[in-house]
Amino acid sequence: MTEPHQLPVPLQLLKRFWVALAILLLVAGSVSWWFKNAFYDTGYAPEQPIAFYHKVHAGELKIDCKYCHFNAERGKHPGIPPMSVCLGCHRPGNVTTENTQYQKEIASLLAVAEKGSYEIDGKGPYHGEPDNVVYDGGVVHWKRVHKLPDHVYFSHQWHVRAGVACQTCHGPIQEMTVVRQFSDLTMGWCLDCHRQSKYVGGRRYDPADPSSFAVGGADRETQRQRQLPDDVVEFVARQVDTGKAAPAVESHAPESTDHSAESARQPLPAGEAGRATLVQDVVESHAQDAKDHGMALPPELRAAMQAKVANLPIWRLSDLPETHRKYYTDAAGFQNAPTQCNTCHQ
Amino acid sequence: MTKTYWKNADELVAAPAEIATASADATLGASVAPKPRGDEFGPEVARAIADLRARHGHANASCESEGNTPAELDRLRDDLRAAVPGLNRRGFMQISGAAAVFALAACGKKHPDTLVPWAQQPEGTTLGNAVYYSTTLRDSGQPVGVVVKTYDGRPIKIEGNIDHPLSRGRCDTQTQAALLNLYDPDRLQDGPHQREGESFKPISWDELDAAVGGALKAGNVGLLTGAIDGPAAKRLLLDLAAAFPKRFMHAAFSAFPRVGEAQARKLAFGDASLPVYRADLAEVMVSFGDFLGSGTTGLAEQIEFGDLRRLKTSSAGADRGDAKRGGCGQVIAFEPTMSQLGTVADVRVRVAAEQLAVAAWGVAGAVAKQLGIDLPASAAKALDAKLELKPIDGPHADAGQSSPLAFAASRLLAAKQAGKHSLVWAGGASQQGEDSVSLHLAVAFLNATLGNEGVTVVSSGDAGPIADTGAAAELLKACADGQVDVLIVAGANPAYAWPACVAALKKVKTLVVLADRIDETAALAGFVAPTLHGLESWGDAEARPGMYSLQQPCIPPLWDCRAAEESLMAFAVAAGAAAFAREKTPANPTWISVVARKPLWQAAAHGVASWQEMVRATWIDAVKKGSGSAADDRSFWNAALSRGVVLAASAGAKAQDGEADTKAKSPAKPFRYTGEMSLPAAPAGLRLVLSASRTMRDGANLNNPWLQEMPDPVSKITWDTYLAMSPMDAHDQGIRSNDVVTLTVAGAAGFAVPVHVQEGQHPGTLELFLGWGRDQDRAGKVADICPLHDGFRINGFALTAQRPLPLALEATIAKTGKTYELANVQGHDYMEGRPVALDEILSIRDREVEEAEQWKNGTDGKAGGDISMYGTHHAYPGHKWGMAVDMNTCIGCNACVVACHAENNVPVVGRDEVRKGRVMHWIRIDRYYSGTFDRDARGPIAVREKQAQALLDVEVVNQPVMCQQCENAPCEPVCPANATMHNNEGISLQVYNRCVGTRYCANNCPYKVRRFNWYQYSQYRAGPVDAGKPLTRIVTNLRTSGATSSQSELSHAPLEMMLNPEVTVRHRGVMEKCNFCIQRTRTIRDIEHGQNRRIKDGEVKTACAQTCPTKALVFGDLNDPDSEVVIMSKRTGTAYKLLDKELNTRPSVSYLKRVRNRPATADELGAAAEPAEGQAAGKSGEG
Repeated sequence: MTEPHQLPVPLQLLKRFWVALAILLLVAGSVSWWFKNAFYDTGYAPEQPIAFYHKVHAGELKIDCKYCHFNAERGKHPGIPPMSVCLGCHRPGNVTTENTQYQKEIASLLAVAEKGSYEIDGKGPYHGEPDNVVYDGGVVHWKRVHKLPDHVYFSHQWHVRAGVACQTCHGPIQEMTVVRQFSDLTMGWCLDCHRQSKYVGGRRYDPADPSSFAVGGADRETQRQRQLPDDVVEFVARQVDTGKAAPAVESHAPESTDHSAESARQPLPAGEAGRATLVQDVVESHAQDAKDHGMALPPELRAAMQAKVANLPIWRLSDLPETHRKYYTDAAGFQNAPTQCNTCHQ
Repeated sequence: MTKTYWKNADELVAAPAEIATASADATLGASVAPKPRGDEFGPEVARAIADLRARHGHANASCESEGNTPAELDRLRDDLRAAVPGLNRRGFMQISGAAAVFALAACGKKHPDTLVPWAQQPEGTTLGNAVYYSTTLRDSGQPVGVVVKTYDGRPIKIEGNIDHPLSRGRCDTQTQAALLNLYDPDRLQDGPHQREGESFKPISWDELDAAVGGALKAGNVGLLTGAIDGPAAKRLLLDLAAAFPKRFMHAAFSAFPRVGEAQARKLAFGDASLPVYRADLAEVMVSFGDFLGSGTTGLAEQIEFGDLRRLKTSSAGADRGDAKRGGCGQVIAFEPTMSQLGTVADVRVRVAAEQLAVAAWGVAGAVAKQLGIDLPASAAKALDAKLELKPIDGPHADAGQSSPLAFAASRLLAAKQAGKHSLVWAGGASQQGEDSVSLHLAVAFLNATLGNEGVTVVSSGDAGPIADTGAAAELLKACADGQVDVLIVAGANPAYAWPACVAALKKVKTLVVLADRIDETAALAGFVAPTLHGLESWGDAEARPGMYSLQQPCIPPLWDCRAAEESLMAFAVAAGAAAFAREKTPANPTWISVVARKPLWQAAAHGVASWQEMVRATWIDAVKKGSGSAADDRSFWNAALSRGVVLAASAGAKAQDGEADTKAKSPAKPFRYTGEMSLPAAPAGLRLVLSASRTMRDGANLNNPWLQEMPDPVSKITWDTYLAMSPMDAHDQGIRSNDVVTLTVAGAAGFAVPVHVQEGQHPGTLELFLGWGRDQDRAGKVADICPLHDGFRINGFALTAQRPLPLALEATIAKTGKTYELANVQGHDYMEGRPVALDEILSIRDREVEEAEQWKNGTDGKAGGDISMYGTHHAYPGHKWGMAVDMNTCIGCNACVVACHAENNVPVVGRDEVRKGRVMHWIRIDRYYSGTFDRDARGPIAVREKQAQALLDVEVVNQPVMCQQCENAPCEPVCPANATMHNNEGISLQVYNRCVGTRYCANNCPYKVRRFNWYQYSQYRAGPVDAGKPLTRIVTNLRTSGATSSQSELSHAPLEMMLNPEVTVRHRGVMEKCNFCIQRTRTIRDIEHGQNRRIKDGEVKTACAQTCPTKALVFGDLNDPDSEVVIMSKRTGTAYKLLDKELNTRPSVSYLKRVRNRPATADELGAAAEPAEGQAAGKSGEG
């Protein structure tokens, strides 16, 4: 006779089947949750050196993502905005610096820009960790959230130009106070979209028929048109589309009065005097704006920046109309402003 | 007698047993017995096995044969126990269990990564896109116009400047490798130093300027620099001379001064200025030295030589599919050693070094006789001198042409009669001495007589560079005489390149050295001021008269260094010179060094003229005027910065890369020397020729791992230098390659050096390469990995006190009985006797064209029907990438190898790993010798002597081999992980993160182009040290560093800045290979997509094709019928694909046969006359 307490192990377990099942499920659940996080980093949300609230900028103020991440539609990387973009709005004296709710963060930002460092709770550089450099070179060293493996070639510009919303991959970023990784960024996740697409390799793509190539509902030409190289005329033409001026782009003025020889190869569209005036207006309003706010930069930094502007190679300036060039060399306002055309000419 | 191709034939010469046992049916290359691999695992493993056996009581013969004493075995056992104490099975399980837990735990934590934005992003830049700067770099003193590719302010690759007429978008080996010198951690990093006893102490820049300025206030001042040619640099020199009136002496120093050449031209024409040689304008070139790797010629000469060698097409349209076309230039080389030029010459004639002048005057005599001109009386005696040269084989119309001298003369005259030009050239490290003047006189006579003077030999007159034509020796003599109080050495290393001058340097009261490290000269100095790398500093150059190129910084200074020019000006200001003094302005606080993070020395803040300002002023003042530019100053300057080069109005007309302009550039001058000349005495015994290293040039690059691992273009030896020896001498003395001999030169102590038996070397001639054997701690840590051969560093410069070097030195060698394994990359990668590298004779090509229909394959479809066991047919709807390799122009320079290193983050593996055949180069250049052998005759010594004789007159084929991107790739079906697969652009991909390292693909690759990453080489600076002895290595490292790799061997900051962010850094255990620079072809989609157009041919190139100086590699789209690569691949009769007929792999790479522009031999003519038989005999391997 076998004593009850001498039951073989499986039978003992069977007696406590529900307990075992519960433990098993718990373990399986935690393991799978842990694996997902461990290997795919979904939900990864590091603490940033300065708390930047996407919720405020993108959600409440409804600033276009591409205003700051302007690189996203022209290059592989979306780009962390340069400090000059931050300071374009948060420059000293501007109303944005006096916002009481986010006083601490804005003060930190300005401290980084001006002094090259900032203190938190009187502990010196970021949380008193000397190795954890966050301010070197007058810029904030942000913590990286999304990281693709080395061997992945991924270009933001084609996805942005194809009309894929930022939120498709990055989640409800306009609601995030701390940015976290939304998608698992695995190859299978890429294929989920691409298999359905008319992209090379997609089910609806026919190699024999180039016109079948399309991504995100945009054909090749639409994608191409969505972002052309920095061309002021192009941006003015967009204003035209909204109905502010007439849309004739075909004929070109032989020589516009406010253009020098270099910029003559990209003359303004002809006919409409309003177009030139439009550019003039924009520039003048910027100049006035800069004059009104004055410059709060230390004089030596301003001198250095002015020297930098004076030494700009001609090819950069020649791409601009005369008015812009004059503005670049004369005014100080641009130096803290975003330096990409579409940061102003959205 | 059968024509044979082989790679290494050392054993052919001096291995009687192996020759005798080689099987009679051995095919191509198999006459070379494979080198026995005695210790497959290295002696340590053998010892460890022996140890185990000893423990179990086995007698161990192999252990004793290794020379291991019981004491050694005990030591090894102790080592092992100390390294891994008490490790038994249980302990092992514990440790591995813990390791697994920790490894998994590590997965949960994401390593925080930092993103650093711009403070202010420059206009026009896009993150992730490269920014290019045009600038100028110097390769052993010679300026090369380059474009530097930078990512986020870091230079990551050096490419040729397409606007520069001497670069044409191409770049040479050493200039590309200069990138690694920029990030060299062994550079002097912490500001200036002052001597304190035997060592140096760091001082501040102000202290340095005060000290040197004080010394400069009185006494004679000497300045020793490298060659100076830029207008701003020349002006700085004049200003300095004016600042120290009547007490300033300047001389340019070069390791390879061109003294004999200048002297001869002074005698011949009354003008000592050094001319420019234009091979591209010549039809025939006769060379008495190494035109390609001499140390005095560079990229421009290589490019122009490629133009000479390239098969001329009748016209682009008619050539398509038609093989009947014009010929190519002819190269006749007279040389004592096997040089880089010798490998590509059509006719190569062996002459002893001392008899080069006799040979040259022999050619001159034959030319003069035909033209009815008298030779100078003193030269006539050269015609009487006895010269035994191997006659040129084959029947000729003129029987008198079998002598190579008469042949060369007839070719030169034929070119003259056809209204074309020719080029006669002599030069090299050892052909510039007093004993070479007669040789250079003969060259000058020939060029003047043939009307080349002013066309292919262009004298630059006063406008030429200030080069070393003897002034350096005078300045150093003045130092020795105590006439120089302060000597400033900038950009020269005389103590290494002329050790005899050390005494003179020590006599100088204040020696100031401006160098990027404490080199041999700086070690003697009182003060050392660290200088900037060429990529960090301003400068200018005038490579040839009227071709001005600008040098601009592409990265701020990495360390606390300052430009040599600014140092000179600061010294002058401190000494009270007003010319360089400026008003002081406050320093810019944002200017800090990139790595050191220290404020930079700024000229304006110290009241000194800035070098940038000087360069700009000179250019706007002088260069703008010379170029005839009408632009305003700022536009001119910005255009010069953008293009990197400005052509003077006179030079601007030169056609770039197109039809050569054959109009005379300078008035022809008559040869007018009639005086005496001395011809060198006929040689006796062994003679040692000192040549410039073809990889290291003057030794400044010795700390560069890319160049250390780059195989020598001829011998294919890496990481070491060696004594090259003739097969005949080796046979006579019973010496084999890798034997260590003691080399003794009259007047110098003997030292041990490993021997390499070099095919083609003239009997009685030894060759040693200069540029190696830097002193300990002087060049850097990589250079110091060079083992000491019996305690002597092999520095050829130390063998003689003569400068310039004499033609040859009397030498004796003695066997030591030891061997040293030279890391030769041609020991592996055998092609197993298959027809791989093919050549043909120009004069009998037409017949080959007719029979060549059978070679039609690849994109044209196969003649034998498209039968494939693979059963896969890939569709290429867009592009299909392919390459054409012109073996006719390949000069074996390895520029492609270095370009691939930089572009694809290809790691260096180190000497020990190269020995094991683990070199990681994605592209290699195979060097095949070919010659006529009686392979059936074996046995008696007389026959072997005959074979050694045959090794003397070999021909060479250089064959670049990269992944052939087969359509039926044998590697693809065998991968169990689907890690290698075909894409729809014809590229065989390697997916690194799928690879599990089975290496099946490498085993199945017939081309041996796949590389396996055994050690995670990328983490090492120059490969794992002592990888040949794995156990010792690990034990030692565990003891000293606590890790299996020692800290000193690991790659460290700032070397990682050099990596190309577009390319994955591969991990250990992963197979890798060429993928036609997929990161570059990938950008095409962006271009085509963004601009809605199809890419133009040549718009995107692989790194190797882009850089090839001679355009031997052409990359393009095989789907585009008008692309250059398709046109080249369709050259029936000349184009073929590697092993396609045998294996049906259908490669995307076509090879163009090496075409030899020489008379066909009787055998070859016979083969041509009887096609069927000839096919069987001459082409037996190809069928």
